[in-house]
Amino acid sequence: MAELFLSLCPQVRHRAVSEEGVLVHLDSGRILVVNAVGLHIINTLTEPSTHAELIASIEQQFDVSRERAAIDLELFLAELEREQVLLQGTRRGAAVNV
Amino acid sequence: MDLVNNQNNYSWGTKSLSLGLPALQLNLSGLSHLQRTELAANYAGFVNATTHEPATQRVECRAYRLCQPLNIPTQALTVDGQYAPIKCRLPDGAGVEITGVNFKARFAMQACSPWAALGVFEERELSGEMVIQNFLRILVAHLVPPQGGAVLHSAGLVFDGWAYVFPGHSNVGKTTLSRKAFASGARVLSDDINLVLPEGAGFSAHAVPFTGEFGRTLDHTGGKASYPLEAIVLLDQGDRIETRSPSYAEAVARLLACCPFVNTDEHETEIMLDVLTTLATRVPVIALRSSRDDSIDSIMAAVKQQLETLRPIVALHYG
Repeated sequence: MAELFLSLCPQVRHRAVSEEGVLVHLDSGRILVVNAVGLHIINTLTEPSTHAELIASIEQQFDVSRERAAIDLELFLAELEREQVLLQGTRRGAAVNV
Repeated sequence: MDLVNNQNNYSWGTKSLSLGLPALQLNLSGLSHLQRTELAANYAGFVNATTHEPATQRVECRAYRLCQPLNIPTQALTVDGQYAPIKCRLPDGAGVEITGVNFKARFAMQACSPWAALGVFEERELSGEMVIQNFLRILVAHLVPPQGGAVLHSAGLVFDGWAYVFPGHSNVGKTTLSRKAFASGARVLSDDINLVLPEGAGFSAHAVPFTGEFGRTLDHTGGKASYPLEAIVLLDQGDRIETRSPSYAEAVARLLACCPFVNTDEHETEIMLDVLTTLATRVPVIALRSSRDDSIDSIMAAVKQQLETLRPIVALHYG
């Protein structure tokens, strides 16, 4: 099965504020706050990334186990999907809304 | 069909009027005698007023007549039950076109010579609140971010010479809070839309002619044009009074949610985040949950108690 790449929808703007992040979805008008881990994931998603790359990035940045990073990532990505801020594609740069 | 006619040929008349709002000197031309008279009466406190500091922007605005009624369905101008004029960017990206109930407007705030045009089909529509006030709200909301300011959907109250701004979504209790504060002797800047601008190391809240249900009891006479902003109090409904200090990110996010007209405009988002991050850094932001039955005295006591927890502790140095 082809590997899936995730990235941020171009209609989403984000900004680090202190250690957290603020996301604005220009289409829906939704404004979200994410914690430090969420902000790291959002920053990583500015470039198309695979699940494995995201997990490795969290593991490295926050000194947590791979299993814990994978669980937290799935929960966070599910929230991002609900907010329609993710794009998904089968190769880097080719993405559709999740 | 282009409903915006050649404005020179379709002006309502030759009268003009100058409105001095915080940060904006609006010179309206092309008015009829009736339009000028009604506008002058409705905005008495702001007609030919000395423009306010800081950084007043002069905008020439031409009034003109539309060649036919707009007839926009109400649902096209409503989002989540709230009035929301249709907004789009002009092809150059710098200008904005607004279509609202009974009016169409265009403006460019970032140009060397900021300009605006306001069109209505019926003569008296122009001076009606649905047209002129909404037009001014949108204009000011786009004008102030480059000056470091923001228009906030909020109640603005003044106690003992200090302004407190209570941002919150519709129906959260801004007008109720304003009524209670007014009855207790506080000055109400607005129960719906307030303007904050940087001043010195902090911010100030300015009197603007934008009101909600509290209405035009706010003639702003006898008061100052602006008051130092003591605190921002994010407003929520609850069963009893509770206060807390939100994180900076929550403060910025909730302030952004209360910046009408510009918060989801991709041309404005970055600058709004800059402005609001600065605002949340320079002015204490707390969150308040209260019920409609809570007295203004108990609300303000809780607000001031929470603010005390934010005061910096003075460090003592010996030797």
